Amino acid sequence: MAKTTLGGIEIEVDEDGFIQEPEKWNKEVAEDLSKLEQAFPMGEDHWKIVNYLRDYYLKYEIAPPIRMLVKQTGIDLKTIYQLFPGGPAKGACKVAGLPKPTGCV
Amino acid sequence: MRIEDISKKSDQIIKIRQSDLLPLPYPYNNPEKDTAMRELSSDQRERYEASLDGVIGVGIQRPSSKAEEELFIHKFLSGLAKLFEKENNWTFLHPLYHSLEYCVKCQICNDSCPAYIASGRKEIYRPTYRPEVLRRIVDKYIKKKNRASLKLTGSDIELNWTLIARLGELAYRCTLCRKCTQACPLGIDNGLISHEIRKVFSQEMGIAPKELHEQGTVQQLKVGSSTGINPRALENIIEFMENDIEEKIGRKIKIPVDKKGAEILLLHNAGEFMSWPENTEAFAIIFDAAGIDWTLSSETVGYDAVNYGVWYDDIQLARVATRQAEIARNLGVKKINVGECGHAHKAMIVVADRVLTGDLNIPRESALPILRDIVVGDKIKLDSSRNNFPITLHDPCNMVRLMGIVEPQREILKKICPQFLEMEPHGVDNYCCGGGSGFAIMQSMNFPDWRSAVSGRIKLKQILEVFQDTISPDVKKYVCAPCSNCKGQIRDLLNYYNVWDECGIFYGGLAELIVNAMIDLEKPFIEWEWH
Amino acid sequence: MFEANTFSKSDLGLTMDIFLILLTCFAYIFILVAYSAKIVKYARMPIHLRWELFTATKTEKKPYHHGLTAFEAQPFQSSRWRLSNVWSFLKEYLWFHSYLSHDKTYWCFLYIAHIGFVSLIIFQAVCIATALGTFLAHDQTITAERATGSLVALRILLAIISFAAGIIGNIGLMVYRISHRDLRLYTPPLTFIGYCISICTCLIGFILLLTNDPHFSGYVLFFVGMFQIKPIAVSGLLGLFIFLNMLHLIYLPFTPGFHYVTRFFAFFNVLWDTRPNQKGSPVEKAIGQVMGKKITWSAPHIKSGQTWEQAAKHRS
Repeated sequence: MAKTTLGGIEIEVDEDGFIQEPEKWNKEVAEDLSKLEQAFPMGEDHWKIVNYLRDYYLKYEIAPPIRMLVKQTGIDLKTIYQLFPGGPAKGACKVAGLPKPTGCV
Repeated sequence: MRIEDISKKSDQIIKIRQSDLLPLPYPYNNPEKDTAMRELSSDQRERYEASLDGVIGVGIQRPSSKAEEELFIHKFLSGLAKLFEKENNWTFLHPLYHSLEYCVKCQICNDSCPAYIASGRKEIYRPTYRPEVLRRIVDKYIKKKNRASLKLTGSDIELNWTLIARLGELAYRCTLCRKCTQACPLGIDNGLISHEIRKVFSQEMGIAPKELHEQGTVQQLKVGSSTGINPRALENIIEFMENDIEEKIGRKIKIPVDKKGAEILLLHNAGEFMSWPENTEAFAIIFDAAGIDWTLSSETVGYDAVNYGVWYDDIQLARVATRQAEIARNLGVKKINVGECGHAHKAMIVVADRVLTGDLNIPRESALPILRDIVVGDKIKLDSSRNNFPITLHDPCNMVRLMGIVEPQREILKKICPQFLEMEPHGVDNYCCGGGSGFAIMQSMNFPDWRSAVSGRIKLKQILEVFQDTISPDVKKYVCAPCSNCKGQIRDLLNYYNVWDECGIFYGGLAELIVNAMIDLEKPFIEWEWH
Repeated sequence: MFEANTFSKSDLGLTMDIFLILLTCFAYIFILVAYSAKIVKYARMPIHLRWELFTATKTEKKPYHHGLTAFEAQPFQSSRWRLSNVWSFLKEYLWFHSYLSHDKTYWCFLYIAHIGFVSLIIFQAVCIATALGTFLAHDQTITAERATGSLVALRILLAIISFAAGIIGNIGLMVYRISHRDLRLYTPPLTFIGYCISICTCLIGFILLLTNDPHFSGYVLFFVGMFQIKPIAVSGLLGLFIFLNMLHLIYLPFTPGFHYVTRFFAFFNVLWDTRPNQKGSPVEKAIGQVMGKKITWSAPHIKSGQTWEQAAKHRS
């Protein structure tokens, strides 16, 4: 594990840049993460996705299925890839401060 | 290189060069279209053992003191000794013994290894390399043979931290597909050797890839699923699936959950819920249409068929299987059926048969024959012209070579897919997708690159070859892989090489194709935009 | 023709003869004991988790399986003795099917070497049988004439086959293993020593046949001497032949050569072992026993000292 500075605060990240201290996440952290994910500057759709992921995670302690994300935000997968080149799991989830997806996903 | 070089300190034993890799057919015969593997950062190299092939799968941390280093070696040896004890390793003692002692190194098995061939025959990936290293260590440090007999039997090896750490990584460069075992006329199981090395690391040294242990079996037993899905999230996802089904087929279906006394407890790989809910939806639609008495479970572990223990740890294997069986027993179902997940098939139906005792020994079988009976027995109305695109079938090693479930999926495809093509080789002779034994879920650092560039390369070659006549991206093509793990790997392979854009090849499961052919559906069930 | 008893023996010669008899007895007993011990070890291996391969060395053209469950009472899946298994096993025994389809040159030398080895064993058995017949006849005037017996033609035929095949096969294998990097790298010195012993044995056998003892009667007489516990002198060359031959027998248990037998267990007791864990079956009983064994694995997630049964139900 390594520490890095995001949004002006020190946060622990894993080998692939996912933050390990979700409680430290805030908008500034998200913006700094979006720079690493080539998703900067973040527009309305970026935030729509990030906020949806964030809310779902706080409620269910897990990221939502990708199809649920697409359906609920109304943003299709292709656009998600344009917004977050790393894709919904590795890109958007990372910016939203979620842990890296695990299991056969 | 020589075999004993594994213990010599060096920057890296082998380097994977793009030009050494197995050539691919059109359009990847153009080297510019090939993708190069990511290099590790110097910081990662410093912290973790990466001097095998410049790839990190396990992530073995370097010792911080001499004492730590010695403890590491000591633990490895004590674990190795336990592999040969009946009490600690009755589970695999017999095949381990035979495989270690009686291999004559004829190298017949070499051509069956997807990693060895695709890498351009790198010595360390040779199926007999790991067993030879292990045999030498066992002869010298466990059996403690004298100098003369070590010389005679060619057991020259120097045990040190570097060797053990490299061997630990190397055990995760074999997908346990066991095609080499099939090739061996003496019944030597080189795949098993990788499995046993992994066990020493996990069961004695407490070292295993995070994705398999900490976030895998441990998370599954604690939270309910290796995906992190807890029962509340499951409820939400099932609700989502029910709505999705209604939207797709114009009719509401109630997905049965925790139905006591049902005929079937259906165990899905929970990865399907997260990444491919269309597969679990398809099962619900088919079972509903065919009037099957089935249920899902919402108990922790009861909604995730996976059992990563089968890849690296016998005790975790027994724990997960026992929990799953307890849930089925408590529900009072007649049997467990496993959905489209290869390793769960093998682990739950076959391997665990010898840890489930008494009332836990509940009948367990594959869900594929049920699908086959429905399709072949015309229990639901299907129109094959709805699947009129080129389709090929990937055979998951666990179901096919290791269990013999070869025909049900073929009978289905032959009936509902007019353009079904077999790749070569197929059936029990298939090649692994390259994501077996947990690789498809190991997502850290540059390991995903390795399994796309090396272990999965031969599968990509087979897929491209079978579709050569219609390789243009204008023709949509489908790789049917009835296994979550294989699906994840094939998805990553197709992305890595940008195959959708270059060739129009998509992938998915088996049940989706059946629903796609149902005549009372207004729009196609398969949605190609999810590439 | 010579009279066996007319050899004049020096002390050294007598010592040599006694040594060869002792060595022969030792070699036969040694290989018998070593291999029996291995068979017992394998037969007594504990039950293991199911780890079968649907097909191992063979490819069935029309494999069909209906999903495989422990409770599917199909004789197809429960019997490891089904004909296709036995046949694929025999194919490997009789003509090394996998080698043949994989690498014809290697197969050729391997097969010839094995023919040589097997005929050498039969040749010895014939010699011993003849000697035993002579010995049991209680003839006080044992002559070479009698000793050669009626099996002489067979004996000579076997000798020629085994020596010729042994030389060609083993030289071929040796050259092949040296000239191919992937084989050379994995071949221990012991294997090359084995080739050399075999080649020398066969060469000397040939020389004996061509020069000194065209009917190989001396060898039969040697065994007669062994049976009557009164050494019958052998020529130096024959002595060397016997010495090398016995050395080869003693060498065998130190090599993977016993795969002839262990592979039987590997296929029938592991790779094709699909015996389900049914109530009241021997499998269930065996599982009950092993599940009661104590684990001493020491990783943090395992509680050392628990039995397998307890560990399986343990929730951490």
